Amino acid sequence: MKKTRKFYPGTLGKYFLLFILPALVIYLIFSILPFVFTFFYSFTNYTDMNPTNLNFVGFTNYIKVFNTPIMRKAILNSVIYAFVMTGMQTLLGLPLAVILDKKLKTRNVMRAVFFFPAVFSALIVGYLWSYIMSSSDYGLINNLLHQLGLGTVNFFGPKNALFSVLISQIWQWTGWGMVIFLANLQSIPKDLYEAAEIDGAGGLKRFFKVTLPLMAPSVKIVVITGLVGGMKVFDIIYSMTKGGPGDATETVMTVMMRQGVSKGFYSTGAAFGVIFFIVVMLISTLITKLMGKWSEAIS
Amino acid sequence: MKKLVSLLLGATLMVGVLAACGSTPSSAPAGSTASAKTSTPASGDKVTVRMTYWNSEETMADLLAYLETAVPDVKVEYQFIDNTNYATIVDTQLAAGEGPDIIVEAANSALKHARLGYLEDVTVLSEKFSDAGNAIFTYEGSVYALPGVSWFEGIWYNKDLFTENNIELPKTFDEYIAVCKKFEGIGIKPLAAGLKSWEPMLKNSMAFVTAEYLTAPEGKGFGEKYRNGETALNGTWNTYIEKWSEMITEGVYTQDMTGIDHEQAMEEFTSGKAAMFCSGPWDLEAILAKNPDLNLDMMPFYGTQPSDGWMIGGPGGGFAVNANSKEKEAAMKVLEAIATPEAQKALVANNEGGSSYLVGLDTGLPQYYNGVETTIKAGNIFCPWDEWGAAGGAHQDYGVEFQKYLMGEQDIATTLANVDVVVEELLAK
Repeated sequence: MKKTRKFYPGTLGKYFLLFILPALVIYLIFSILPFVFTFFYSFTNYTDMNPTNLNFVGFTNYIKVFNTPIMRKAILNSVIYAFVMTGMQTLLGLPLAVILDKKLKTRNVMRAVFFFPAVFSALIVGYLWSYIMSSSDYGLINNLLHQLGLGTVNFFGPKNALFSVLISQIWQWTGWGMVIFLANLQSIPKDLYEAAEIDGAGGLKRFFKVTLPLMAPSVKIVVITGLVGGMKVFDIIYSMTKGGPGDATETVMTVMMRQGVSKGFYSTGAAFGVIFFIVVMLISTLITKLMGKWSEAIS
Repeated sequence: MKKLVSLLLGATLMVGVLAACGSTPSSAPAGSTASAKTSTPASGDKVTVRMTYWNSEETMADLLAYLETAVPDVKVEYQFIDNTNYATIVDTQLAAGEGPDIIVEAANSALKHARLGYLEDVTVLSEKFSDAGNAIFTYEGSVYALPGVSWFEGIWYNKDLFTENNIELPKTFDEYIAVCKKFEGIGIKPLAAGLKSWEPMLKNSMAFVTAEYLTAPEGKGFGEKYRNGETALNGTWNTYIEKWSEMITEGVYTQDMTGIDHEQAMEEFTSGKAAMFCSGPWDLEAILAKNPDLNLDMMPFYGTQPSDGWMIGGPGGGFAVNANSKEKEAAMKVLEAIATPEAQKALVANNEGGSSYLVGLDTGLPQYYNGVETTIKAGNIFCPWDEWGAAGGAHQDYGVEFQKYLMGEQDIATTLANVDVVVEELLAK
C-alpha cells in the first residue's frame, strides 16, 4: 500500500499549504510588508514636501524622535496608562468573575451588564464620559456637586485628565477581563474545592490557594493584551482629550500621529513606529517570561 | 472526488486573494484612486471628474446642481473626506501621481502642492476674484486655486441678556473685559468656551493681535517675514499677548474650561447660561436648533482702540485642478463655471453668512450678522496663519501652547518661543 506523504499538521496533507496561503498572503501584504517599508522609510528623508527623492539619512530620524521634547511625557503617559489600566482590569475583573461564577439568580444578567460597555466603540464611550465629566453645568458629576453646594471639579485639568480617561476605560474593559477570567474559572475542577473544604480551607484561603494559582493562564492573557493595548492607546485619547489640555494626555501614539502623519514628517513617524515596536516587544517578552515563571512556580 | 473538491476550494481562495490584491476594477467606489482617472464617460457622453472637499455634500448641493446644467458634458462626482484625514489622504494620492481632478485646498496645502508641481496654474480665471481672495493661494506670482466663500469667526451674543441687563455692546478690548465683568457680577457666565479644544484661544488671541499689530503699519508684512524665517513670534508678539492675557487674569477664560468641549459650551450659550460664544456661521443651524427663540447676533473682536472690529477668517477652501488629472480640460471647464456669479450665489446659498470673493458680487448677509456688517464691509477679516505658508499647520501648536499658558505651566515668552520652534521645523522641511 502506497503511503501518503504528509506535510504537517493535521490531516490536510499537502493541501494544508493551499489553505494556509491566503492568510499568509494577507498577513504578508498587510503586516509584514508595511513594517518592512516603515523600517526602510525610517532611514530616509521622506516628508510630504519630499515624497519622491528619498535619501539615506542614517539614524537622524531616530535621534529626532528622542530629541522631541514631548516624547518623554508621551512615554510616561503611555506607561502609566498601560500599567494602571491592566492593574485595575485584573484587580477588579478577577473578584468580579469569582462573584459572578457563584450560583446567583441574576448572574447571567449581571455578566451581560458588566460586559456590555466593551461592545461600544471608544469614540462613543469617549463622548459619553466627556459629558459625564464635563466642567459645564451639564456635566452629570459636576451638576450633582453643584446641587450639593460644592465647587466644580475639573476632570480634564492637566493633573486629572489622564486618570479621567483611565476611569472611562476601566469602566469599559473590566467586563471584558471578567469574561476571560470566568472562562478560566469554569475550567477549574470542582473536586479541588471540595478537597480544600474537607481540609478545612475557608473562602479566602480557597481563593488564594486554589483559584488564583489556576488562574495563571487567563491572568497572562489579560495582562499581556492589556499592557500591549495600553501602550498603543490612541482612540480613547483622541475622543476624550485629543492629547490635551496642552500635552497632559499625549501618548506615544498621539505624538506619532501628530508629528509623523499630520505634520508630514513621515520618516520621523516611521522611526517612531520602529522604536515603539521594539519597546512593546521588549515589554511583552518580559511580561511573558515573568508570567511564565509564575506559572512554573505554581505548578 | 474529495481531492478535486479540495483543489477547487484552494484555487477559489487563491483567485479571491489575488483579485483583491489586484488593480481596482472600473466599478470601484468613489473613494478609490482608480476612480480619479475615469477616462471612460460614466453616463452618456459625460466625462466624470472627481472633486474632494472636507465639507459635507449638503454645503455644496446648490453648486453641484448648478454645475450639472452649466457644464452638461461633465459629471462632477463629489467626495467628502473628513477634515481630520483630508490633508493626509490628498497628499498621498497626489504624491502617487493620482488623486482627485478638482481638489478643494486649504491655503497652506495649496502653497505646498503648488511648490511640488501638483496643481495647475489658474491665474487667468482668478482675475475674476478679488486680491484678498487670491492672495493666500498665490505662489511665486501665480494663483493655484480659486477662492471659495469666506469663513469667519466672531462672537455670537444673546441680545436679550444684553438688553435686559442694560449692558452696552463693547467697542474696544477694555470695554469687552468690562462687559464680561458686569455679566460675571450678575451671575451670568460672560463667555462660553470649550477650551478642551486648542481652537478658541488661538482665534481669540490672534484676533486681538490682528487688530493691534498685524494690520497696523508696523505689523503689515509680518506673515511674509515669518514664513521666510526673518522674524519670530517671541520678541514681536509678547506685548500684545501680555495685554490679551487679561482674558485669563480677569477670569473670562478659566482653567475649568479645559473640561468643556465646543458642543457643551454651545449648550451653555443656547440655554442662556452664558452671554457670548465665539464661533462662526457653521454653528448657526445648530444654535437655532437647540434654541429657536434665541435672540441672536454677532459682534467682532476688538483691539484697544475703537474700530470696526476684526474677525478671524478668510477664503474657505480654494478650488484647484490636479496637474496630473487625465480630465484636466473637463476640470478646468468646471472651474470656469465656478468663477461665475450664478455658481458663487449657489455656493453662498448653502453656506449662509459666507461671502464670495468674485469681484462685483454682493450676496448679502442674513439677519444674524447685523453686528458684523460694518466689519465685513471694511474687509476686516483676516487669518494670520494663512500667511505662514508651509508652517501654517503650526497654528494648532499655537493653540496647544496657549492651553499650557492658561494652566500656568509656562510664561508668554516660552509659549511663543515653543511655537517658533515648530514653525522653524516645518519651514525647514
